[in-house]
Amino acid sequence: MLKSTLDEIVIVGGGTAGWLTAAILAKKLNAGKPGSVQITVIESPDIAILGVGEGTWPTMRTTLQTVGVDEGEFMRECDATFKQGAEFVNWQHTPVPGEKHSYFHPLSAVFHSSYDFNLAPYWLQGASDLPYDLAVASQSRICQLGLAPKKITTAAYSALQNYAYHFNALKFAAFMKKHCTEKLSVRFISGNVQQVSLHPCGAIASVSTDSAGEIKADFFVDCTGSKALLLGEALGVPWHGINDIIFNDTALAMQVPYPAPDWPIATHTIATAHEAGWTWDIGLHNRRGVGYVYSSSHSTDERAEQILRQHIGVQSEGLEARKIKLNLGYRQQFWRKNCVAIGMSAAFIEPLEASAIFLIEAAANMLADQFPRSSASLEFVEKKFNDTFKLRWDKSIDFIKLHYCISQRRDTEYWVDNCTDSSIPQSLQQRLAHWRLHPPGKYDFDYAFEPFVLDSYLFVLYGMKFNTDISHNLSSYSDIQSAHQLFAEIDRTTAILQQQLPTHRELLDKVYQYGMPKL
Amino acid sequence: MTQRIALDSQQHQHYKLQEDKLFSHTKLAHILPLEVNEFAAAAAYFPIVFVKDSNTGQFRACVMTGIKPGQNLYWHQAGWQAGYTPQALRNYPLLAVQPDTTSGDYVIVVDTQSSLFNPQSGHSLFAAGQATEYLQQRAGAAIAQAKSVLLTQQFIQLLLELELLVARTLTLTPQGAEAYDLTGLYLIDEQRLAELTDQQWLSLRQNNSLLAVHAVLMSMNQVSALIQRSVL
Ligand SMILES: Cc1cc2nc3c(=O)[nH]c(=O)nc-3n(C[C@H](O)[C@H](O)[C@H](O)COP(=O)(O)OP(=O)(O)OC[C@H]3O[C@@H](n4cnc5c(N)ncnc54)[C@H](O)[C@@H]3O)c2cc1C
Repeated sequence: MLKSTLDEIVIVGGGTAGWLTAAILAKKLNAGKPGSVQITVIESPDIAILGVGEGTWPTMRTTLQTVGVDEGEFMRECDATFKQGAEFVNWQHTPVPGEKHSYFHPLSAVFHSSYDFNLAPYWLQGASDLPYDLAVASQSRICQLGLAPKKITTAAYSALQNYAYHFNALKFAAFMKKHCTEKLSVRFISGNVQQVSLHPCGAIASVSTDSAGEIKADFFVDCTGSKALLLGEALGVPWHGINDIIFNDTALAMQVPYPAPDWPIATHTIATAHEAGWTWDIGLHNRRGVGYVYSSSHSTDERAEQILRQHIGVQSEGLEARKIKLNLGYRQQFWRKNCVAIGMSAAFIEPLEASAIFLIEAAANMLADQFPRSSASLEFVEKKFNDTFKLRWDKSIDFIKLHYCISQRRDTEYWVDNCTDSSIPQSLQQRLAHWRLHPPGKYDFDYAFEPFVLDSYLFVLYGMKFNTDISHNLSSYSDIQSAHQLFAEIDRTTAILQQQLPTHRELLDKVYQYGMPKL
Repeated sequence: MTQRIALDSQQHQHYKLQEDKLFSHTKLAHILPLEVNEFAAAAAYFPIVFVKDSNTGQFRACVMTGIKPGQNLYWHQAGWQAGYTPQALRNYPLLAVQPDTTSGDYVIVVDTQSSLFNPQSGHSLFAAGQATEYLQQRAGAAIAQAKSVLLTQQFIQLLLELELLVARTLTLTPQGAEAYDLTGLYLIDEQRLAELTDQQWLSLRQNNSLLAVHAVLMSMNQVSALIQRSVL
């Protein structure tokens, strides 16, 4: 039997998911204050965390600020850098040897959001000479120039151009652990969970550890990574695979040093398409994180390593590649009874748009905001949580798939298979059919918790030169003058920013030395 | 642009320092650095504000000497127009820095762009390879300033912790000219000061910071004096 009020929360797992969830719950539920919940994290001293997720979304800024982290200190301790978006290289068509083509998906549509005035139909009519990503966003050009998103005088967590972070995942988990235990009254137990005991009603009663015995709690969060010890193993919630849509089931990761200490640091993730997958390239302060995500049905591991080493060049000599198997999909339920899974235990698509940590934050926030202090509310919240996260993951899958299925690449079976209709979800096919004749608009994104919104779709669609034929409807888009004004304003903003912003490395060096002003 | 090098008894053995009672190097400066131990003396003449150092993002304390960049209303060929002169002006072109904060030793550096530092005229700096009495006295003042810089930083840190600093834009309307905004200024928020808890008050007192806080608040009276000066 569950108690009538839920007062003790145990989080099993101390990776990115475990510590972020602990911090968000502790802060929002005022852990440590009289009458509040008690939050405990149990982490295995033997099982290493995954430690590869290095790219985040701007939500991370809000999260860290909310839980009371000093931004400068966080950046210095986690080798963090500023991320302003992603550059997609060689996705649009099969590159001829030596050629490189690319487009940006910047994080900022702040000054010229397409919700107010959608520039896409005007761009489609040729109202700008620039490629879509450069025409509609200063930030794409700021990324190209390697400039920072702010100045050293800009207050912590404030931005001149929207930004997120790249960071060292191992250091981030350690940093959050320290913050949670020292500042947020989170209790920590080092131990291996060996057994999970259930109440007769099917809810979890306790977990047994090798070091601290049996630990009872009223509510459990499963952050045990791909093991899914609680929700998967103990409660038996099945996995919903998505291998028929997304093919990349293996990753090879490397840590590549910079050739010189003052080497420029990219302020965006570089995602380069290859014959059977894509490589990520993430610039941290002291090294790059580079890896190849590929389909094991379309490539041998040997060939994959060869591609990765070729891509990195001489810098890869003598470095070891770490192989990681990816299990793509999500749990049929994320929440059952008094247990919710957050992180790799709940779902994983593939890291193309770095959405995993973002969805960890979203899940922890919803759990905190809706936490059923009374067990009578469990069932209601469980259903709401499951419905919304199924929707969010399905929508994320659509968006990831979009990057592949509108490509003109046909150089390998991998790209042919990716563009075959049977691999494309119906929901995406329907929208693409509509967008062949109408540019996407805000009404296509009317869900309040849409993980990827209009601007993101526009950047990918028109970065990929997706063909929207609006010749039958030009009369609807006759405000060319406003469009020209907006394009000109973006040029002006870019020029001003270009004058004011330091280079990415310049700003990082200062932030590491001086921290960031509080206001 | 200032260019600083360490004073060296060999390299600079023939150099001299002149004194400039007009402080001409500040002719175009609308803000000038001030340290916390000077607040009480300065408050009767200038508004004391906080600004971010454009190079480090760190806050520092300043007096306002003009109401727009490029203007110093206290500089005059007849002499400095206030009853107080910030120590940084008096010490110029010398500055004491701590290259290694663990050892605590200070090195005296000089702004080589300044004509006050020259081989021709002024007080000798070195004699027989030793610092002259004059230099020792000037170096002592520079070191005292460097020490008060640390106190100022601690004071500002406390203001930040207590969330007492707020960004303020001064909208100025000079006679016969268009109104404009002077941005980038931070002041002590009286409202928040009034809302401090007893414990927070106590932390101000224990840090000997109450006097400084009051000096900053009092100095706000000088804003109107400054504006008046600008229309004379
Ligand atoms: C190649 C790759 C690249 C990625 N890139 C990104 C990216 O750029 N952006 C992004 O957002 N995401 C990315 N991800 C996803 C991201 O890495 C994960 O979402 C993130 O690391 C969360 O992992 P986790 O905390 O759920 O699991 P883990 O890091 O695996 O942590 C599991 C925890 O559970 C503990 N544990 C396990 N078993 C037990 C037990 N029996 N008893 C006690 N404790 C136990 C472990 O000790 C560990 O602390 C990437 C993933 C991969 C594979």
